[in-house]
Formats: sequence, C-alpha cells, structure tokens
Amino acid sequence: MAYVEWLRAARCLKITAIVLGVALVLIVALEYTFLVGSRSSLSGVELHTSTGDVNARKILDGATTTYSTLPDGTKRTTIVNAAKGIRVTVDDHGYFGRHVEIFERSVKGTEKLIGIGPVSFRRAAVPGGSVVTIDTNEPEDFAYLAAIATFVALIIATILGAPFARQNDGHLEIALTSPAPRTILGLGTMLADFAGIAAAWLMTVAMLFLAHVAQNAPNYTYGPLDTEVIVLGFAGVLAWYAMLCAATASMRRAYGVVLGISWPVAALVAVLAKADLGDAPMAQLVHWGATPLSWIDPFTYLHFGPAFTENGRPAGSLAVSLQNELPALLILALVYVTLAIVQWRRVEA
Amino acid sequence: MSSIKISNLRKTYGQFAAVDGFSLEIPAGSVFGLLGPNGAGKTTVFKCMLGLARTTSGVVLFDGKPLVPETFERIAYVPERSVLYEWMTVAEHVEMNRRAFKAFDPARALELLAQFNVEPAKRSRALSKGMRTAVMVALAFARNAPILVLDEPTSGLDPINQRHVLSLIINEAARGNSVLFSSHQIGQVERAAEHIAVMDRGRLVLEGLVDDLKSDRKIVEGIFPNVTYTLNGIANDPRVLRADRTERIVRLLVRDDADNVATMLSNAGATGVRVVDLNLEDIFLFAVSPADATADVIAKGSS
Repeated sequence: MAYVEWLRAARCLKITAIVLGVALVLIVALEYTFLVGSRSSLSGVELHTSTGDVNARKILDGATTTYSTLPDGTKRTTIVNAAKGIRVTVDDHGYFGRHVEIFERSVKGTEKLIGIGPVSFRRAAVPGGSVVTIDTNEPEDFAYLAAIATFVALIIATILGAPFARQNDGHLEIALTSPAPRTILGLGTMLADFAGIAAAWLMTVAMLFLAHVAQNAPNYTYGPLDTEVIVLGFAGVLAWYAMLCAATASMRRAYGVVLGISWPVAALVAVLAKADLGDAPMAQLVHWGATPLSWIDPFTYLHFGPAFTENGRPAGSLAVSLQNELPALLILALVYVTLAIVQWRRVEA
Repeated sequence: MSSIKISNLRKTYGQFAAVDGFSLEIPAGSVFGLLGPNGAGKTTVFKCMLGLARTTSGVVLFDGKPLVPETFERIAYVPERSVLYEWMTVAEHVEMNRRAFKAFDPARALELLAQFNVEPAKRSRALSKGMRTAVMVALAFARNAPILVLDEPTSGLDPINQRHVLSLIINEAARGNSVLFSSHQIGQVERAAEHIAVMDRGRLVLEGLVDDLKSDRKIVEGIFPNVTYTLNGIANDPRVLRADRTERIVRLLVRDDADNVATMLSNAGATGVRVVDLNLEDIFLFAVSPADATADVIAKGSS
C-alpha cells in the first residue's frame, strides 16, 4: 500500500515539476523582460516602486541620459531631469545585481524600507529632497524560500490528503489481504505521502533558487530563524495532511469535496477566530463558534508573519513562534494521525 | 487437519442476516466449490473469512489458528470485482505484489499474464472486465500460496480463459494446495471441485463430495394421464427429499432405494416412470429453489 501511495505521490510530483518548470521559465522571462531588457529602460524601477512616488515616465520626459563604465567594470547609467529636480543613477553590476539611486528634489519623503526577497527599497530624507535606493541582490533570508515552499507543500498535502478514502473506494481488498498489520500499512502510507510532500517542498526551493541564480548571483543568508521557519512549516504541513487523512479515513466517496472545501473552511475559521468582529450579538456568536474550531485548525498556527516588512531588514521579517505554534501543530499532527489510523482500522470492505 | 474451519459464522447488517450460522470445513489440498444464487451470502462468507468484514459471531480458523495479518502470506484472494488501481499499469501491480508477499513469483505472474494475453505495460483502465479478472487471477496464482480463495474467478472471461483458470485451479490442488472458489457456472464447479457447498439466503443448505451427492441421490420422474392425481403418500416417504410437479409430470428427489420409489410411483398411476442420475445443476437447483407449491399441496393432500 505504501508502494501504491508512493506511485501516486510520484505522479503528483511529476505534475508539480511541470508546473514549477513552467513557473521558472515565466519568472526568468519576466526578470529578463523587466530588469535586463534595455539599458536605458527604467521599467523595472517603475514596476517595483509600489509607493507610486517614482515613475519612469515622469523621470524620462525631458531628461538627459549618460552612460559610463566604472573602474571595477560596473556600467553606470545616469539620468538627469533638471527641470523636475530628479537624478537617477543606475549601477549595473551584471550578475551581482543593480544599485539604483533616485534623488527627487520635490519629495520630502519619510524614512522607509521595503524588502521583498532579494530586492530592497529604501527612502531616506536628504538635504534638498529625498533619495530612493533600490538594490536588486540584497542578502536574502532563506526563510522566504522556505515559506513559499511550505505553501506549495500544503497544496500537495491537500492533493494527497485522502489516501485511506482512496483505498476504501474499491481497493480495500488489496490492503487488507496484505501480510502486515493495518496500523503499519496506514503509517507506511502516510509516510510515503509525506515523503512526496517533502520532495515537493525541496523542488519548490530548487525552483526558486534557480529562478534567482538565472538572474543574479545567489546571496542567501541562513540563521536560526530559517531553521524555525522550516521546522514550523513542516509541522504545519504534517498537521494539515494528517487532518485531511483523519477527515476522510472512513469515507469511500465524496472525499474530494472534503479536500476541495478544506482550504476555504480552514482559512475562514482561522480568520474568524482572530478577527475583531465587533460587539454585535451575531458577530460574537460567530467569533465564539469559530474560536474552538480554530484550536484544531492547523492554519491557525501556521503563519510566518508578513511576507515583507517596512522599516526593517528582510532578514528577521518572518515572525515565527516555536514556543506556542510548534507544539500545537505537533500535537495536532499526532492526534490526527491517530484518529486516521483508528478509523481506518475499523473500515470494512 | 482441515486447512480452513468455519464455525457458526454470522454476519448481520442491521436486522438483515447476510450469513447465518454458516459452518464449513475445507480439507487441506481440496478444491471446494461454493455455490449459491445471487445474494446467497457467498461473498460475505469470503469477506468474513478473510477479515475484510467483521463477523457478528462465529470463528474462522486457518490450520487451527485464527487469522492474523501474517496468515496472508499463505492466502491468495481474488475478489469478485476488480480491485486493481485503474491508473496503475499491470507491471506495477506485479511489483506491488512482489513487495508485499515473500513467496510471490514475478516471473510466474508475467508468464500467466502472457497466457491470458495481457500486456504488462497497459494501465488497468485500458483493460476489459475479463482482462482485469485475468490479471487478478494471475497475481493470485503467482503467490505460491497454499490456500486460494477465489470469488467468481472466471467472471467476464471468455471460454478459453475460463478453461485456463479451471486448469490452474486443478493444478493447484494437484500441488496439494487448497482452493475455495465460487462461481455461477455450475459446469465449471462440477469440472474442478471435488467438494461443494451450496448457500441460500445466508445459510448452508447442502454440503458434501460431488460424487457422493450425485451417487446417493436420484430423480424419479413419472407422467400421470390427468392433471388431477394423488401420490398416495409418496411425497411424505422419508426417502423422498422433495417433490416437484409441472402439469402432469412429477419429479421426486430421492435418496436411497430409488427403484422402490419408482415402483410406488407406477402403482400410483404414473406412466413412463424412470430413474435419472443427478448432475450438479440438479443438485444445486433442488437445494436453492423452493419446492413447488403445488407439490407441497400434493405431498400434504395425498398423504
């Protein structure tokens, strides 16, 4: 049975590899289109400046552009728009990234730092205006990759999440006439699935890494926080997978419905339990109803904080708490695995 | 020692007893045919035997011991319907069995599959119903298991492959292995099985060696000149197991001394009285079909 489940997981991994491969091609293509396409283009700047304060067209209208090469080989593009009081310097380090500085005379911006993966945006007030600095290959915390990979692993866990129900649906005779105890069969099945889920996690990390190195030199940092994110992520995925197994272990059909609604329901429960719904009786009722459900919902404990931060370095931005969430997820995983096995041991062909 | 002993097996679903007080001993090295009409409880017996369904009561012993998971190293089972994974290839099913069972012989499985003209590279979903049955049979016979439990092992197969399965069953018995199988094809059972058991509505209604059942029972047939006639108490004779009537024709199932019963029937006014040997189909039909209501009336009214 574990062999069958591993075959199923392997098929799922093949599809995952195709999807990730297509995503990789798209990401690399987009990177080249927006960031490398033309030396004089500032479309990348325009793309990434979410504040709306800097706009390529605004800069380029009436500007003069000069190109030079610095002694270390860095290619510098300088764009000056004297009328608008804007000066842009783009230092292109090739494979090692770009450094962009945009001075704007008319903007009295406040201090701000935005980090998204390897890209950082800093705004600083300087005499006579403000400067926005963009670096495209800042040191990136490995936790970002881990968090994205965890999301993909959750999807794979959902796809694989009904191994017992699939077995019950017309194949139970194969499993139950095997010369192994049902508990061992059940645990072996779940282990095979989890190996597949872990493989999907690794494939996602590899894809993200490749997407990065296709454009820039790898510049990752790894610290205790990253380990915490990885551990919490795996515990969360395990708890999620085990919960789906437990929810479907006695089913023969219609388990697809359970898998299909699992994400919206779990997310809704987690949100309703945490949200401040106000003092209205109905809101209170919803909150009271969702709160106990949230205790057994892995999504409640599976959060990494905001994916990017303001006024903080990217490293350390993934807020995790191993003190509370990790034990909760591990306990949930254990309980759900036990529930799944106990149920499946009672299923009849 | 019997290889399988079933004692007082009972399985209920709510108020409905699918199997009720079923007891059977299957001797080691025998081919045992389990017969019964649809819904008689044959598959339920198999499932209860193999722990696929929980018994309400009763005991099943394999070589004197209760079923444990390790027992399945010695039992090969073919369910009545396909349990193959549709998305898996036949070769992957072979590999699955190789991993699961120590005595499984993949080369033998591939050889049997070739005999059934099944391509190992095909996915199960691409196989016909008969081919799926053939795959399950091939996998079971490659197990080298001393006990084979086969639920309708020829279902969906063409006559050539049906004959091949029967040959495999007989070969297994020749090797000293026990085969318990069910089939609606009574001719197949008659050809392969030395023992039979007949089930009806969850109960065992007949059991014994095929040859014995045939030899100690006869049919006495006679034709009366008119539709209205009396049997002069013949139907109540302890040697007469059953009486059936179709218009003027009377058929009596008789155990022992059929010639004497035939004389009694002649004396009652029947003409063309003859004693006929039973075949397995007659035995089966007598066992599972209710006695002719009119014959019951005759039996009671004429006594």
